Amino acid sequence: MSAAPLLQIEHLNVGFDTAMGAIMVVRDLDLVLEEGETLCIVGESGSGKSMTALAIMGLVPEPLRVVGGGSIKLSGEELVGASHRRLRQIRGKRISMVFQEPMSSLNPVFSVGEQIAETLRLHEGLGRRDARAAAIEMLQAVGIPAPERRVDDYPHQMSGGMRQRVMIAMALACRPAILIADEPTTALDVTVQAQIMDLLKDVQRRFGTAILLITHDIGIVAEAADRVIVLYAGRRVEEGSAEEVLRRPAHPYTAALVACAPQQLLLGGERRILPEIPGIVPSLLRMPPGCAFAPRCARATAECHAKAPPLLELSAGRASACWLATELGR
Amino acid sequence: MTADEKPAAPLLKVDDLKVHFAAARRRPFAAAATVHAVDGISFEVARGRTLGIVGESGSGKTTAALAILRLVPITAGTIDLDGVRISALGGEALRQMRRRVQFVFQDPFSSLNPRQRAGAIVREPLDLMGIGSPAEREREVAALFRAVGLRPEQQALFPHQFSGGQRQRIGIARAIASRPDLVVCDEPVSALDVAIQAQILNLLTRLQQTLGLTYVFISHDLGVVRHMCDEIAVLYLGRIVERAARASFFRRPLHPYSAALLSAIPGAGLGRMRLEGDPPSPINLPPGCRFAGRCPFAIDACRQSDPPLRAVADGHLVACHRVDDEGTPPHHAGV
Repeated sequence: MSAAPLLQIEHLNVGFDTAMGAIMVVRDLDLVLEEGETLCIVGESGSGKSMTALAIMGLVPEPLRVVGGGSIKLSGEELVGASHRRLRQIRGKRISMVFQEPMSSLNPVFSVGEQIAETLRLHEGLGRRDARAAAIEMLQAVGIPAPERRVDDYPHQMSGGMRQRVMIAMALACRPAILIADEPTTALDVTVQAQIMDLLKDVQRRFGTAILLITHDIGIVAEAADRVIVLYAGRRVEEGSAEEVLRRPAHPYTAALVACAPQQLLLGGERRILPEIPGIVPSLLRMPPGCAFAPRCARATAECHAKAPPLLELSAGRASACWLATELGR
Repeated sequence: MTADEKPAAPLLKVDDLKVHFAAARRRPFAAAATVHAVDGISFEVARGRTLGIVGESGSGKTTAALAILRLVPITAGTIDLDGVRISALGGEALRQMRRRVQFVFQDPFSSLNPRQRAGAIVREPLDLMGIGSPAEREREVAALFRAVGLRPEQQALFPHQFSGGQRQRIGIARAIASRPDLVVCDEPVSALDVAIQAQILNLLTRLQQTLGLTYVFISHDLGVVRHMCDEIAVLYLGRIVERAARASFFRRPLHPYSAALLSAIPGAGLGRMRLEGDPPSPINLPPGCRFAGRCPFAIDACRQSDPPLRAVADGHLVACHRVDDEGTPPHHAGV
């Protein structure tokens, strides 16, 4: 084994040029994912969290591109600029992805068994019979009752929760080192959501998979993450161990997200007016010159509006991009 | 907070409401099946108060809302608004009633006409109901824009030029344009980012205070419901399984399903009660308690007889065989 981290992203920029200037969806992202851990990327819509996932998979949609010499290394192997052929070997085998909407990510005209078996036949060279047996085994592993019968079901014959289990079975069929889960429970009912989160934790324990979990839900971060990266308008604003970031946010945006979380409504005292983050995420075309969060930040100073703060390391693995970081993180 | 005087007559009274649909036949010549979307629910909402209806997909919460708005045919039961039996209205009387009951939709993207300017969207109810003179309507729309936190000059923009939160503000302005008594909000914030959710919830709270609105607030999010609602009704497969005042409900949710909903919320640390499977279909309902198949506390009695909704403590109603008459549930849950 090499000493290289399982997944290492450096200076990742994703964007495209328009007549009105370059639009950057992800800016200067660094990230390390170690074996067996769960790293959460949290942010609102437009924060660049899903695009980061797609960049890792080599699936950034046109006209977006990875620009500016960023690097994504899987166990030391560079994926940016890798051949389609090589990426196809990696996707589904070393890195798999589970999407938000299990219905639209499954093929409606093939049985779920065929879809799981396809991955195994392609990557593992299994024959039809063996692949089917392995598919049944995977369905069993993700908690689908009577898998030898359900293997022949089509996606429309299953509930949303079942379909998401199938997606997870398919993603894990080749025992990938990394599972990227992009809002895997957002489209599901709460009681089913809890089942799927339990399942992810369980398969991680059994297969030792590293999970990159993309979510907007602070509660899921609290429940599942070892470490967390908070994105705002394409940039990292805070990073650290999930426990520390949630307990002592070192960025006003993280603090506001934690304060707004629905869990706070459940556990906090009763009040008529909630803390809110005023305004909206800035347009990627009209990014403010200073800190992107400054226009919405209650603590913003003249300096914040004028100059974007760098990501400042507060302690090992803990960083914040805020001029007030040292004061806040204390 | 909820222990004040009993109001004389409720603004909205729903009694044994049933909405059944014919299900699509699976095969030609198959027996026609019935979807029991809403299957005998009763509740009241006092003026100026908020009733939260909680449930997962298929619980019938949206169908119940549509029935109150008279947008789906009612199979049985009655709905009274301010003493008027609106479930029996038709024609012009029904149209006039719609002035008093309005709706805020979940998805601010699909509930606004993309070809209509924001001002026209908000103005439409005024035009349709013939409220005020044209000049008055113009002033009113400007005032409505301000009331929901938009600028009056934004009337000229089209829906796609607004963010999700702003679109929901337009939807709210349209809902309050005809000065309704009752506003039914169906998951009004679940399509929005958390930071924006708080803005919209605060707006709804402020509007309720200034306009004296009564809300039926439909949500799957118990945190949002706890914040917004005075009373909570939990729906499961078309039935109310628990109904209680907010404080009582959250201190001690009695029905195992309510407890499971609460403990399913990630990161809240409210127990690890897990349900198996998904909610069954409202077509083939089990004979006993509808929740028995997923309930970790189910006994034989639960599978045989359907528990009635009964009062076990002051105002706390529950439909469960396993909750005793003192209101002791079979589980430990609560905030």
